[in-house]
Amino acid sequence: MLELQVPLLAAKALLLLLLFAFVYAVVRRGIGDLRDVPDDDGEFVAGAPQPSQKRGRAARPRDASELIVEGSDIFAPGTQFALENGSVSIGRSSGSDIVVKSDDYASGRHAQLSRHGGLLYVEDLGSTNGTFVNGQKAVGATPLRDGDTVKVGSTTFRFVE
Amino acid sequence: MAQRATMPMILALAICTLGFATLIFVQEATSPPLIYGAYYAGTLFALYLAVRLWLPNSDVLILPLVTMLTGIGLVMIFRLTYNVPDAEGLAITQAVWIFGGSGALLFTVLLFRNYHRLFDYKYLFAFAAIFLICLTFTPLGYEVNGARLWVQVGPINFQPSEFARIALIIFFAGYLAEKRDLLAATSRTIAGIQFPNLKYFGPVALVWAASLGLLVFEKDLGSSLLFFAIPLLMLYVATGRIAYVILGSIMFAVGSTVAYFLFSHVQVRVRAWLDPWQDPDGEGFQILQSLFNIADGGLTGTGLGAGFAQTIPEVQTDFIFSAIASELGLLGATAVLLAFLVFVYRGIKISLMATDDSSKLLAYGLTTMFAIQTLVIIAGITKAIPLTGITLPFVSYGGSSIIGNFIIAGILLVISEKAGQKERGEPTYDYERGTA
Repeated sequence: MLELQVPLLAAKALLLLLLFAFVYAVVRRGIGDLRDVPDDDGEFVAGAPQPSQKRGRAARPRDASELIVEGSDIFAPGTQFALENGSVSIGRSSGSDIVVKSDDYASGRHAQLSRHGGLLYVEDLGSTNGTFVNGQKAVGATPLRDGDTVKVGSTTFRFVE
Repeated sequence: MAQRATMPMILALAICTLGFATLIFVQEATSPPLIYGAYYAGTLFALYLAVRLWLPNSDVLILPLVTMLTGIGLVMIFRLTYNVPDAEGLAITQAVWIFGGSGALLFTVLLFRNYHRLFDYKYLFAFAAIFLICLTFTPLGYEVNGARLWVQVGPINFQPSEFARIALIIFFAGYLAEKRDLLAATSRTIAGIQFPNLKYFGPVALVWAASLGLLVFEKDLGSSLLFFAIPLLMLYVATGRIAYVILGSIMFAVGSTVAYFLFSHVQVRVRAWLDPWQDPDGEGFQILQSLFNIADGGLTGTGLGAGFAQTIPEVQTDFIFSAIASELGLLGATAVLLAFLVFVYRGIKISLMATDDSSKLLAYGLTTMFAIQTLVIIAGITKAIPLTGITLPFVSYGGSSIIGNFIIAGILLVISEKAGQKERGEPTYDYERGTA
């Protein structure tokens, strides 16, 4: 009886080991491609100048994407804002990357654009009048596609990739 | 350059092989299982290679996960039915079903590479789903264990609701992607919560009616729950309106209370859940046996072939997870649950990476169905919620369920292929880096 128990115990242990080896391999493989997704800019402060580019992003080619003003009380139509790979803030405060100065409908820190996993997301920063993507009020981080419009205050931008 | 996940694939097949080897040793079985095991391993490895070849940008982890889950299922089914009268051939039948499922997956991948065409026929899919559900009411349908779930057409028996779910999710993905703006628009505000216009709500209401029909006429609590929850969650994801969830939860609470008082089969389930000991040899027998078996497993389990999980009625379908917990213990059961979790994670990731709204919703809907199904049956057999008869995806015995789930895996693969192609085309996002 005893000699039967030992190999069985070994088989049992080996099976559990294999199961967890599988889970380990799968999880390792699965989160591998998340590593490439840029970190959140948790420490971003509106007033501070943007540090040039973060480690890891520097190697990548810049995006050709930009925001083009469609209609606005304060910008001339057709004004272009190039979007670099980091996050871009929009607001009335002078620390914003895109300053919508003297726009009564915009908040100090109005909206933020950031790139995650190859997609550009726009996020409302709790502004009074909201941020609109294609006429819909943006709730949470909303991914932008080529040709989408983003409305901040009185200004409507078109996103071009 | 193809992405590879050969290591997880080999490990998954090794788990299956070791399981069969242990069983042959313990149960002194003869060679047939080895031959079927070899067929199984060959089929899935060929499937893996075929998908890598045809869909080089698709998600690499789906198939190793499917292999691991079906492998564990096959080992357990073989173990539970070996030398059991009336159930002897179930493992072989299951192996045939897995073969059929692999065929269905390849078929899906080849036929629907351009799956966007599916959304052009979305109303046809809705019609097909309703038709499939109604099929069980016709003379073709028949009852098994008190639930009218089965349909016999010629020599083929199948559970139409397994396929109706997929058709329905395709419909909802197409419909919601088109109407999401209308569904998200606020028409009035009640008590500070913005309520959308209910005009475009028709199809959702229709499906909920069908779900109620399933509950009343087919006594199929599990499918009924899925038909209710999935449209609701897809609606929420499409519109971002919490009002739908509140509305749905209220409807669910009212509906389940009414169902409890009206239908005896619901009462039986709730009674067995609240106090299985009031009828330990009858209503409570199944759930009590399940709990005893899970407890018997302890931390590392009794070892394959050494447990007593055969005592649970229907152990090879709904209660297979109890058998896994019994013979592989808490650790083994946790590993299987983690595999489910990774599958859901990959599904959600495919949904996030997908290129357009309808694909996102489709991937999300299919993944959610998979997740809810797993949650509901595992919560049911551990007596966390009342038991609803539903299969554990990929693991449980059952042809319709296996083929349906392989089709789901196939659709997820083609969606991830499309997303992968797009990612690859963009110089800004290097999919390969850090993954080699």
